[in-house]
Amino acid sequence: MDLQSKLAGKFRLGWIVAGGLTLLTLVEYWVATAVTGNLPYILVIAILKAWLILKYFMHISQVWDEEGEH
Amino acid sequence: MAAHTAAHAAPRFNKLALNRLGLWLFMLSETMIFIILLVTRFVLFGTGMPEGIEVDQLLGLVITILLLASSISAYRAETAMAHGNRDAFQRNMLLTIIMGTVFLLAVVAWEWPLAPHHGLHLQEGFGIVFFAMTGMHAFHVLTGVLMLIIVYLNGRNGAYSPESYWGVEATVKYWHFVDLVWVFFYPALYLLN
Repeated sequence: MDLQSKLAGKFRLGWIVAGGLTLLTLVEYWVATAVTGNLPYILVIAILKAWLILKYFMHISQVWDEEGEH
Repeated sequence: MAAHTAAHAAPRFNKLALNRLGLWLFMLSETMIFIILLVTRFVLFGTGMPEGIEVDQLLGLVITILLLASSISAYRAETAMAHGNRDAFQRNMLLTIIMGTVFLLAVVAWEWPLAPHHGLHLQEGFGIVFFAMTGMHAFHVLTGVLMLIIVYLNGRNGAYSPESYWGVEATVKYWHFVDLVWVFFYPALYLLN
């Protein structure tokens, strides 16, 4: 696979993660306006969003393995 | 023989791994500040919103999505540099700077002046927590935008390559960290009922 195809694949992954984050944010907003006593739901959604950012955008696994060397 | 032994005793981590570890430790220490602010909000005001406070939920949603969008463009800028696509790097870095600036202005120049009309006052009640949390976050957005501008200008001058782009990686990671903090601040300030 050439470099530009790899780049396109990574960009696609980025869009999928961003789509997931946007969807979770909209669900979070809906929960806030429609559900009373919403703390547990909102906490779960926030943790899911944080996990997506840490794993796919911040590459937290690079701390303990050596992927993404440059 | 001595040189051979010294080579074997050399640390396993390379410079990049140490840089990454250092950045993560820095972000961990920053996290403590944000956790303290978050805990303060819940200790003082519980799990709901105090009486008489009407935060602008729609504005909160719009700026949250804007910050998320800036995270995807930052991700694309870093990925583009890693794969040697300088045009995409510059385009996405510029987009991130613009969205970060708009987020900052939306909070500081739009929301803050309107806050007293929603029952949020700088020196009393929930307003203290609101301004402390959004203020500390906005300060980090400001420093993030400044770093993004420096990296963008360095990139234009050819300072980075697919073999060496730690400056880009560190700045983008910091930007994602700013986004990560907002993931918890946004519901704590706007959404709980």
